[in-house]
Amino acid sequence: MASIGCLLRKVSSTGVNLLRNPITSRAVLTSIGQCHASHWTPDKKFFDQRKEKFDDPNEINPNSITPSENPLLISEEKEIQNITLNFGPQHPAAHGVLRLVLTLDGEYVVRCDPHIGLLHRATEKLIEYKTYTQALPYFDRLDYVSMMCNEQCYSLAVEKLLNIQVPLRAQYIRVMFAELTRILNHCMGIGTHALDVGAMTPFFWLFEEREKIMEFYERASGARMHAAYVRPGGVALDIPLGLMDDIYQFIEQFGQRIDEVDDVLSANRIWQHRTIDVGVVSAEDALLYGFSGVMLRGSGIKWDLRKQQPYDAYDKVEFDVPIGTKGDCYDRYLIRMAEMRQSLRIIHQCLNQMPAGEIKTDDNKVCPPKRAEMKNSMEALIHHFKLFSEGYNVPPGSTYTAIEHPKGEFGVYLVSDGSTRPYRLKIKAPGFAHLAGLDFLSKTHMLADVVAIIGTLDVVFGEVDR
Amino acid sequence: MNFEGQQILWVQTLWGVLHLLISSVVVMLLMMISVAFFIVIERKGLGMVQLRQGPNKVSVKGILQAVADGVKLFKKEVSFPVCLSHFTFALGPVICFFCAYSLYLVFPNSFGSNRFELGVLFFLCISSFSVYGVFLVGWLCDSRYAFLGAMRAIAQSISYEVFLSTVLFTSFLFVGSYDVFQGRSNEFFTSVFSLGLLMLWFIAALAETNRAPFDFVEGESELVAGYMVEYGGGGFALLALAEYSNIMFMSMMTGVMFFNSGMSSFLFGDIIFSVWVVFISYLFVLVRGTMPRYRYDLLMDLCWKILLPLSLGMFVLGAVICC
Repeated sequence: MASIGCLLRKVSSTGVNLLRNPITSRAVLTSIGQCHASHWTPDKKFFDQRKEKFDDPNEINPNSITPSENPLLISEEKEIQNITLNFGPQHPAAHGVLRLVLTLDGEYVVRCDPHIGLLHRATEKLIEYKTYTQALPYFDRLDYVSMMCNEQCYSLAVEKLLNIQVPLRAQYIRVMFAELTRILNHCMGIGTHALDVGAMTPFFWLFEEREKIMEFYERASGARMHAAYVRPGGVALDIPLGLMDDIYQFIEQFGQRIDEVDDVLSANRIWQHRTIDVGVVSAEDALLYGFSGVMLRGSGIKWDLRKQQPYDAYDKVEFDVPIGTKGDCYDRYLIRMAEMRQSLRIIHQCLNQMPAGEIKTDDNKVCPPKRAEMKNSMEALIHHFKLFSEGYNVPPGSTYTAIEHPKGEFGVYLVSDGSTRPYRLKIKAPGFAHLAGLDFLSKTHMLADVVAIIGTLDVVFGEVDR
Repeated sequence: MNFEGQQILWVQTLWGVLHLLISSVVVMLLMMISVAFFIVIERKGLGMVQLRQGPNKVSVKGILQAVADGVKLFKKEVSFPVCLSHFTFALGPVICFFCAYSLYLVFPNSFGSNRFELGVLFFLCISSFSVYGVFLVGWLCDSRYAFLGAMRAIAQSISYEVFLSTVLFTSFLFVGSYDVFQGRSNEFFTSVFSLGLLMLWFIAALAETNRAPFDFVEGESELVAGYMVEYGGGGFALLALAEYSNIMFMSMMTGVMFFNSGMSSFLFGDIIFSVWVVFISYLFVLVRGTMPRYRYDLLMDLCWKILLPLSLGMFVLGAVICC
């Protein structure tokens, strides 16, 4: 049977070699040149033409060289090349539109070259032509699994330039939703990581929970994903009655959902084999490559912007920052699990400490007035009109404002020239730096490990490509 | 021998051939039907594990889902790679399917299919041959993902064939014959020893059928669809049929080796036997619902360093007990 296989292979490789013949390939090129369409794709006519030009390898052609004299069949020394594997952008483990060009030695990865830009939408440039209010929804679409955290970062940046203080209730609402968003993000991160490693089930369990959190989003803002809820000056609307009760119900049961995933994965021997000692990042490497968030804490560096430079109400809540010891995929998985539990703790405190009061700053030059006020006050109506047509002016200056995004340090560098539109806005996305480290992370690992490492990087292409 | 005797012999031969043909066709049909229902069981079972519905629209409660899928697959347009002859491209799935089907010649049912005396050996031969089908499919279609899948298939089957046959022979030591029917009716003791053997066998069966923790050959998140990445429509349907009928057959062998009814040729015995087979094939589904995928170098480590010594020890122990 082996010899038959060998023969078949040789026959088919003869066919392939015929295709690679320079004379025939020139003929192919001319037929492409004759096509007048700007975007040419091979059609049936093209293939029929090719069929006429090449011999069917199964037919015995009287003109062909007999096998004994065929130089193709004489074995000779050949140079061995590594396989180049095009991994993505349609690959199921590519997390969207990641394209990797992998050089493989057997199944070991020699080189791993990420190609990005397939989801590039020029967000930063578009924002330069939008008012500060209009720019906000772009942030939902950056990292589209942790929407409100992006908004929060932008809002904080604008508030810093405006030099305004946000009411306490708005701060607590922001922190509460930021932590819900962290859970949302880690559900997705752990779920897809597990799916990449081959465990399908936790993914579905966690997505069930994500759906519940998205319902909270919907009840607060009206949109499941792209909320546009956290805005410069506070939040868009006050949270509806009963939402806090339901969030309480949710966080009460969510701990058990984490336990279930823990049961399926944490102690699972296969899971441990697949993640322990895979993709190890030393503390030094993590700093050199500019990693942040879980990728940094996994290597044992205790750095969390919520603790280091608290924003909003993070200085008023208690929580711990989990760190890893080895910096491998398993550590990072455990940290994500632990962070979800800490988020539950923070949400619990927010629910208990939630003060009454305003949810927006009362400066009507920045924040739109209440709807009811607009019905009787002409001034309010004018403010509303001005804010939603011309926008508000932001004093000249620049700021780099960063928050502890679920994926790492998410920063906004904002330059204002005093007009109603940002002069320049640069987004620092954590996933970009993490993806840059993929090459050194996956070297000498196997193909299956690359998939696990991509899972643990938790990249989302909305923010990497921007 | 007179003329009448010759005639009787001729009629007997004809009847034998006819019987063989009919029973083969019946077995093939039954195999396909059982595969169709197994696919529904799998999807329903995974749905239950993952807190979702599974197929529930086609006919009553979605039980004809797989039939509808099969019809759709065979109706699809077949596309061939440009650089490859159609014959070689179509050969792989056919070999895969043929191997899977010919395993069923030793299927121990009481509706007269053929009774092999060396059924177990036949099973081993076919199962080691079937890797050529996978290999051809992966290697000939000139895709790197498929090529890696084929390489993995070979590495995996070389590692596992030895282990699998050791476990198989250990259990058939107690039967004292290579006849699958005998295995079915044998009063195999149910002790701790047998339980340990069952665990080993189940691991081997998972690896042999390229199922969940060991599904490297088609590992979805690594190799997209592995060896069958270039196939769609009919070719894919044949490969899927082969794969699932292998699972059914492995559960059947498990039934033969470990869960015997003690009744060989009665209809009732068949029914009890079938219940066991369904139960074991459901275990395959549950494993798929709970386990992450192993890595294939780790699998080979596991096989050569742990499972093979264990199974050889079991074999020696079994031989001592039998003597």
